[in-house]
Amino acid sequence: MSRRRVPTPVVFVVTFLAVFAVMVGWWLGLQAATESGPALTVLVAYAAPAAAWAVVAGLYGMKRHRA
Amino acid sequence: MALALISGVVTLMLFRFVRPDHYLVCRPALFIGGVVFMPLFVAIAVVLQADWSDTERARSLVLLMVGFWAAAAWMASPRTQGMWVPGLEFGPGLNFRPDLILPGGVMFVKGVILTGIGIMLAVQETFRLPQWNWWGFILAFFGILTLIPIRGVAKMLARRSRLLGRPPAWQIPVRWGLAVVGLSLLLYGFLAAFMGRTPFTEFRPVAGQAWASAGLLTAAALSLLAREVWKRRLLEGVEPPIARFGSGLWLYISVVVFMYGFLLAFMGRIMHPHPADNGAGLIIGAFLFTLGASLILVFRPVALRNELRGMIRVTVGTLGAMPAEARWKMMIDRMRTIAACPLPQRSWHIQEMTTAVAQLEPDGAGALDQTRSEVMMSLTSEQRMAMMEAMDHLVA
Repeated sequence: MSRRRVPTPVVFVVTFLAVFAVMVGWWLGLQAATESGPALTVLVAYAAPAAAWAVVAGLYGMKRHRA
Repeated sequence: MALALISGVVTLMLFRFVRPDHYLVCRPALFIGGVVFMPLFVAIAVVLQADWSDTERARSLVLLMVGFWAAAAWMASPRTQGMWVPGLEFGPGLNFRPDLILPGGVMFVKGVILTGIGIMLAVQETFRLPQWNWWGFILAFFGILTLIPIRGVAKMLARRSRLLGRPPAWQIPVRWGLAVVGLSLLLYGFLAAFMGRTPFTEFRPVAGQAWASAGLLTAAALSLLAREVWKRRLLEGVEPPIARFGSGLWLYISVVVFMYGFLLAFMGRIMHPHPADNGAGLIIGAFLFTLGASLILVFRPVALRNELRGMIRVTVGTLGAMPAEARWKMMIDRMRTIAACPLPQRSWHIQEMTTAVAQLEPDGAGALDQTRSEVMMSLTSEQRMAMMEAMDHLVA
């Protein structure tokens, strides 16, 4: 396991809560987008996971590059 | 509750258990993408409940289903599996590596879902899009957990034992049992969800075609068991393409029969396409059915071979990092197992292990080379000859 200042189980729970919050936010965003119509809804459906993908891969890509 | 379950799984798959600079080595970008797009079903649920016309909902559903399909199909790339990194061991020679389990499992589950929706749309008397019920989805989610991580770990443990020459007696009944239980939960859950009713309380089997349904479900389950037994005859790693495709086709046909058995049990009547009254449903259903079939018949066999390669690669890395005595014990089991294989399989495994050693850091590779030389001296002369024969076969 990588060495952390904060214990791994605590980091895991905090990460889970953050992911849950993002998921709820995405769901609420989708609900709101349905008022505008299918095009925006489909865009939001794809844009949120794509953004999450870019953030995670980009963040760890930078860390790997700096190591 | 559904969002919490999904969040838990996503967190577990993507959590950083290793050093930050090792993260992408064991969680490649394609794997990360496959995981973050798994919750696309939340968007599909929203679309199915949206207050739009049928045309708008159908169009949006198809657009989302294509993405749902693509996020599984791209995991057939060999770049979905990562390399060995330290820090993920949870037992002797065992690593927490969802990249070695997820692609094949996700392709199976998504293939079943796409096929099921396709059949549902195609066999209705008039065009009617699926509805939604979150309790149905939660039940189906436990089917997904059974089919992907639980069955995936069982397969990985069995594979590891096979690689070390100890094929476990439990592998066939456990793989089969988990497939049947997982499929049952998945199909009941999604059928209830798409009918817009809560399973167990509002949506239960009806008597209409009980015998036909029971017959189909039993036949499909036995077919899946027969396939598991038949697969023992295949040489793992060097199965001919026709056998891999045939195995996938056998699985797919059994699943479709199982699916139809479920439809009969809950609809209570024979269902078939009505092209004159439900042309749109037939076309969209056929399209989704084709997407589902492609995942199970085309992409999944490729992914399973990549997962085997990945497992060998990670096993080699684990060996390099083990204490010398443990490494010696595991390597002698491995080499005795390889020596007992038929020549094509023997050569393939040696080639994969050699490739994996070449990708290690010098310390790990050096330790492995030394142990390998010592182990070769400990083999019987027949085993040593078999290994040399395989290496000559590779060079030739």
